[in-house]
Amino acid sequence: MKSDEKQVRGGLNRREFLKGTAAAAAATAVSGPFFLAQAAKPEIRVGMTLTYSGVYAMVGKRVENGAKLAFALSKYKDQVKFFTEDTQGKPNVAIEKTLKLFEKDQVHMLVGPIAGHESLAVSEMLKPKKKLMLLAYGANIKLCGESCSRYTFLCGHTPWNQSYPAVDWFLKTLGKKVYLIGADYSTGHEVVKFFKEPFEKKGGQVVGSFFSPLGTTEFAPYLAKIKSASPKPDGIFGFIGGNDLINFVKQYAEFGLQKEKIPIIVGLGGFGPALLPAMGDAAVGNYHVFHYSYWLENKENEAFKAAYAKMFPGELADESAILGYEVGTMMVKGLDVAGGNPEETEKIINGIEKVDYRSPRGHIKMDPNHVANVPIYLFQVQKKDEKFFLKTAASVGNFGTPYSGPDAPGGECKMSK
Amino acid sequence: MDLSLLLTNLLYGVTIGSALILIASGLSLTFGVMGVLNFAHGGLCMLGAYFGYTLVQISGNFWLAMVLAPLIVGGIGILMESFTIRPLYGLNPLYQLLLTVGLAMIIANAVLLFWGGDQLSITLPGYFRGYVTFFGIFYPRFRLFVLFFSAAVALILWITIRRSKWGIVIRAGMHDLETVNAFGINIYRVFSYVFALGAALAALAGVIIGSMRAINPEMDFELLTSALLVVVIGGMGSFRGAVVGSLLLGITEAFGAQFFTGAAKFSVWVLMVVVLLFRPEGLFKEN
Repeated sequence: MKSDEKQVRGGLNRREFLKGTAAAAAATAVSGPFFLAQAAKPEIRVGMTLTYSGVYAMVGKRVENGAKLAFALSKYKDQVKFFTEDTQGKPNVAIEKTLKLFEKDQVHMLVGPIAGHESLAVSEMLKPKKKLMLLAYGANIKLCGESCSRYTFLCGHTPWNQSYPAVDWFLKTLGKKVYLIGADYSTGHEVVKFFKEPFEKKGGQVVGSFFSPLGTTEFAPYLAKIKSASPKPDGIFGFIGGNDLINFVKQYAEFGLQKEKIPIIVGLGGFGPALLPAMGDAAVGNYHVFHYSYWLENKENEAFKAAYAKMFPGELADESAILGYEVGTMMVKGLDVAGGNPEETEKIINGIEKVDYRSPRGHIKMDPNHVANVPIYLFQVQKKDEKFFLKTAASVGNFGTPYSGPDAPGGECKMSK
Repeated sequence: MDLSLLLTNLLYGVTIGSALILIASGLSLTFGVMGVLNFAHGGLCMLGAYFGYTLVQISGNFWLAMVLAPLIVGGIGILMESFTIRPLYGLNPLYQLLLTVGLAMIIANAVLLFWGGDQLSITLPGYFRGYVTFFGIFYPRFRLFVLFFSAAVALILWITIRRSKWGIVIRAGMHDLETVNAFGINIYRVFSYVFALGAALAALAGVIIGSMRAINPEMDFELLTSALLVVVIGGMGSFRGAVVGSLLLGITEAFGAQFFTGAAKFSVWVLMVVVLLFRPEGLFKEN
């Protein structure tokens, strides 16, 4: 090796040597400040308080993946560092972990917790501390209104905009008679309420309703009630989540209601790719009101799915992943406005308040109450080549969540600094 | 009140109850014979549902799952009994309690590890889908099958316990273990078989239940709670009690949902309180 070096050196004449040195010096002169700037690029620390245990483990994991993907596709990909904590779905744990992230790990911003009671508690705590939280889920209706905060953004969807937009569609497409169903806890009651009041005001008729306890496995007695309802409903609207929905839909088909073509319309989603295989043929023909579907056809969604599949092979780019991605995207857009400085929380907030872009979900804007204004669709479950998918039955427009006047579902939002 | 609605709910209650018999009788037998209150029983039932799901996915044959899943879980039951529970016989029951709670956690986490947290469901063959109509009642075909099938299994079990040599040994074991031992019967083998039988019955119930509703890693606790309720209501260690308790629980739940919609879950606990107030030892007491 050493002799080779000598040979090369020996092969250069003086002029050539000078030329080379000058070029090298010039290169250093140009790259110098660039190099310095890179060294000065601050670390961006993003905390996440999600649910990683129990059956909701996948939701937390996919939100995390989505947010990581958004940063990986941005210019901050080498600066960002993630800190994740499991809240176990409990508000007290969520608060404890949030404090740990902001105080010990010194994170600049937070991807907030998944459950609505957790997110409200954490938001109230962060408000006086002036610390920034973006929520993928955790859309407590109060955060859209009386408990809104300058330091909290709801980037996903709310119980209101996953329910109310179905009213006109139902009256126009299905008919005037509805049977209302709900899981017997706050979200179930909210979704039903946001639908029922405008539905009756606009001339619709509620022919019956029930609220089933969380964890109901036998819906037979409830289905018997729907079956004997008079007059016959044109559709069944409401919110029953996860497991209970699978049980309800399977037994609904057993009961022959699917054959009678009385569709179920689930507010706040429900027929995601994770649940569809478990429901099987029983789900076909039913609808849900939602902001996103894996099968949504637009170029942003195709790009998102491809990038997600590349970064997380074998994982599902479902609604949890897109919500994480939306949160990450908004963080990146906020950072852009703040000149990439993560310490500038106020500037980042100003940036997020002005976001207006096309995401895989469609056209996204941020409303003044810090709730994302998102496109809402009615998706219908269909089957093709032994595979289930969601067909966009209707695109009903963009919705945020009202925050002033008597009809504001979460009360009046008075945003203050 | 609509008579056909009432009748439908009665039938539903009996169907739920008959599936419960399969779970509760195993729990009751292991307690009666071995004196072990098995907190992993719900987990064994859940394992049955998951194995049933995988077997149906692979083979497409529902009946294969109905046969193989109980055999696999029965085998797991034998292993559990001989390697973990056996060393603790004769000790403070608290040890067995801690052990079975631990086993339940291991099963729940193993399920989460191998099958993940997503909701699953067993696909039924075409002839089980849809419903039949009689006396103005709509009744799903599969549930009708569950009703008759569980009743048949319960009947076979009852005849076995009452009439066969094995049944005599089991019943004798409930009364006096040492005497049974003195007759030259290997009581530990009896324990193993009883435990395996309980596990297999639970797995069979798991396959059936997994076909009617969603399968998830949290169903074990809920199934265990129902089975424990049945055993408490019916009387610890009594097979008759397990049968009557299951049916009572199923019917109470069905009517609870019809008449007190929000309080459906609550109604079964009221049933338990009422039974315990008047018969603290449960409806049936062996001995």
